[in-house]
Amino acid sequence: MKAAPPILALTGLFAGPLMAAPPGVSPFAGLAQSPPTGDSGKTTVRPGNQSIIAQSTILHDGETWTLLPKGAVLYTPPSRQANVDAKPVGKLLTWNEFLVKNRAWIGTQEVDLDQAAGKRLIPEDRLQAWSKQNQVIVAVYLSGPISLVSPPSESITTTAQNP
Amino acid sequence: MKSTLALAIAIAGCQLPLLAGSENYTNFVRQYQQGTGVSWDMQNVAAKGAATALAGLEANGALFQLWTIDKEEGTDYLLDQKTVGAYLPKAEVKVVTLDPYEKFPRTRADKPFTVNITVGDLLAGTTGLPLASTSVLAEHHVVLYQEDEMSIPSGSPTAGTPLASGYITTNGLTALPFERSTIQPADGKNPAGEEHFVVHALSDGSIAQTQIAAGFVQVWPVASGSINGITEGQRIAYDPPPLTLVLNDLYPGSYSYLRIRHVASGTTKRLEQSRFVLSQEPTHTDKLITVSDYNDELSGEGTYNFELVTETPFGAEVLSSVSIEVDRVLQIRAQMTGVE
Repeated sequence: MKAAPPILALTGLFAGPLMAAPPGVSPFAGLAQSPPTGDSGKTTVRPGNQSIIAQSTILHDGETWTLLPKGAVLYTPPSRQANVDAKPVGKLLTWNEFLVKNRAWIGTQEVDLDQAAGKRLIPEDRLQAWSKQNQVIVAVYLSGPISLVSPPSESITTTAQNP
Repeated sequence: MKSTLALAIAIAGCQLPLLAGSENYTNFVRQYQQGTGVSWDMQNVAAKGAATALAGLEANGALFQLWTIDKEEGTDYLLDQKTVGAYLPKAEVKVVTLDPYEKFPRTRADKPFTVNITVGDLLAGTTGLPLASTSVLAEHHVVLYQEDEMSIPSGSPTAGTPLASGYITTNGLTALPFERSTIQPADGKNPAGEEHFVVHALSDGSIAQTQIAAGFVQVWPVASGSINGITEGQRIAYDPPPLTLVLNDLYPGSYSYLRIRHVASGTTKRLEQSRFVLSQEPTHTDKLITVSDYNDELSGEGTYNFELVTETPFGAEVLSSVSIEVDRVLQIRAQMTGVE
């Protein structure tokens, strides 16, 4: 197999601020066309068609809603199941606005980055406290909702339903 | 290591930059840590400004996405995204055109523009470097607007296979001059669209997305027009006939009018009732103008040139021209005879 030409040699031919191409030829033709050593040419990951709403957990209070990263809800009491993972209908509020409006049924749990990454668990006594409250608990870091790699919500919900 | 993320409402479509600063929209910045999978929402995102990102950029980097969401409709738009990491290079894409419009770069299909790609933090000269630190991949994507549309869904322009691409392996500015847009008329259609330029880091598979910079230019078609109601060389003896001016694919912010020049005297006038200024953010770019009373502009005899003119950031251009003859002199042929 013939070796690809050295990248440095190719870029030397096209060095300089302006890379004018002949008429009808894309200026990109003046860039190095061979991938560097180690690149299979398939390492580009394009954004594609995305939706932040589809990538989020929706909280809804009946007339307004907000969105959180999936995995940010740590605990959902049975009475608030309908308020979590709801449809985004009505007016959108920021997290702070929604929290202020719904302080009665939303609580927050400050976590650190190790807890968010699953390297350290949230203390057991916090989990037990949530199960006795009637609030949706959201993990936050620097006041912003943050996802946990392994949210404890499922195990707490099961415990609350089967004390 | 904390990093300060400079937020800018970036270019992602015709109307999107106008939306993000509107009270009808709420902005979100979500940070995705590529190594741990943790995602975090930045709070109090203004239309423009700087904020501190989640502390501690990991070696695998973080993906930042700037979204805006319609508060009432619940429709989300991805305005910009960047992948940032300890071993990832930095890049900036800036498109420069002849149009001084400030909200985002735009041009006309037949006009030149330059794509300036500035790359930093590439490493060279030693072996064993992470792949991402040695070069970046630049891509060129082209998307046409659908008929009667002047925007495209966010994310879609750069999701597919690029039209062209190449690797940049040195830090500094790489300027790519385009003589004209890649979007050109075809099959009798005069399309508009966008040309997107994306810079990707080279991933070793550990990061979800590789885009580190992007820019785009909106491309508008070349205008055309016609003067209807009079024909070349037509002789006008009485009141001139009404005119219908047809203008197609006008450029945003353009100023169009009918100019009448009396050839013999050189006197030139712009017909007041024919003037038309197109909005900077138009929803329609065609115009029909009826001119019915312009007899006062043809007070003298002789040849008159009618020119349909449009003025744009690229200069003044004549879309159509017709010349007529105004001849109102009464000629009497008579013969004197005697009566006896």
